[in-house]
Amino acid sequence: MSTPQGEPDQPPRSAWLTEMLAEQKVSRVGIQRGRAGDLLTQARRHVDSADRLATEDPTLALAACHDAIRKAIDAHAGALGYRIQNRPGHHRTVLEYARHQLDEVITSAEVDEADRLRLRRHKAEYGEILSGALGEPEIRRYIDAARRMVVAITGAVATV
Amino acid sequence: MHPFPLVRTEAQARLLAVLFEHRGVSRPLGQLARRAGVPGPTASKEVARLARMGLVTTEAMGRMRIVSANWDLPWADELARILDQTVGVVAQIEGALAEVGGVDEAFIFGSWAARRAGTAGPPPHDIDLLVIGDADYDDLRTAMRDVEERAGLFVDPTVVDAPRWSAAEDPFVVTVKERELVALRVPRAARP
Repeated sequence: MSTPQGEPDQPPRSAWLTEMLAEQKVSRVGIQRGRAGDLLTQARRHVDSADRLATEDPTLALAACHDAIRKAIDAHAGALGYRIQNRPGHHRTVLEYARHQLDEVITSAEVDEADRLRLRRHKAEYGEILSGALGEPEIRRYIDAARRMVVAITGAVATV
Repeated sequence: MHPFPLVRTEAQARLLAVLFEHRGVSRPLGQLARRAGVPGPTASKEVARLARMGLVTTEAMGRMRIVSANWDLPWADELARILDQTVGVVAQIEGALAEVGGVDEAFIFGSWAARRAGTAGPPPHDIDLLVIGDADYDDLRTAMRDVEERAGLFVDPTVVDAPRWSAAEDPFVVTVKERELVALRVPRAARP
């Protein structure tokens, strides 16, 4: 699938990605399979950690779910030779990458759930909501969503 | 009869409800129409009527028309409350709660409630919903889907059981009670 130089050998599959490349929110970096594998391993571990922390530290469990999804999506981009640049709005761009580039394995509803998780994690991280507002059913829902997305993206990366 | 009979049509009521949701928030006409669930041409006509009546103001910005609530009206706060309770987000949430069992009391808290009370700050990204009782979290999320779609905001429920809500030492409960709260009318059917 890749060229000898490791550059993406296919045109971007969505107009969205073409736009992001033009705006330099996503850049071409060459195919990074090793990094992608490492990020997916980290993502799976983060979900397992969130599972263990769900009751005793819900805020950290929320952050772990968010990181798991972010890293899995980043892994897919890397496997195709792209990197989502670390600029303001980075986390939002990561999710939009999933909405446009991973639409065959991740539904729009799952991306919306991940977006909700992103906002909840941000609010929890910066004290805009108290940890007491995060009940176990909510955390469990995010853990399930993160696990589903990481598994789906792992499958997608394997076929790149 | 539509649910807010003081205005001409339900479309007008919905447009007003979005505009009078928070002070200081103006909306491009297209966005306003989407949020209110009103077709664009209808929104355009109704906004023109509302502007003639002095309920809203409009301003051209390039090709866009920016619409704002007229908060200078002496009864603007009262109108906002009536709209909330009839066709606005509050009414929509109250309606959605009717589908869920185990709701003893319910409140909106957090940034949406703070902005609604006039506390300055950025527009809220979501609506924090506090439910007292033993309602199921997933049922609440399902019930709020239509509200979220219409409001363009996530509704994030937190369920607190009655003993915890009465506990004087729970930091979350104490803080929530100290801050702005919008009490919701809990439909009879929602009570166990």
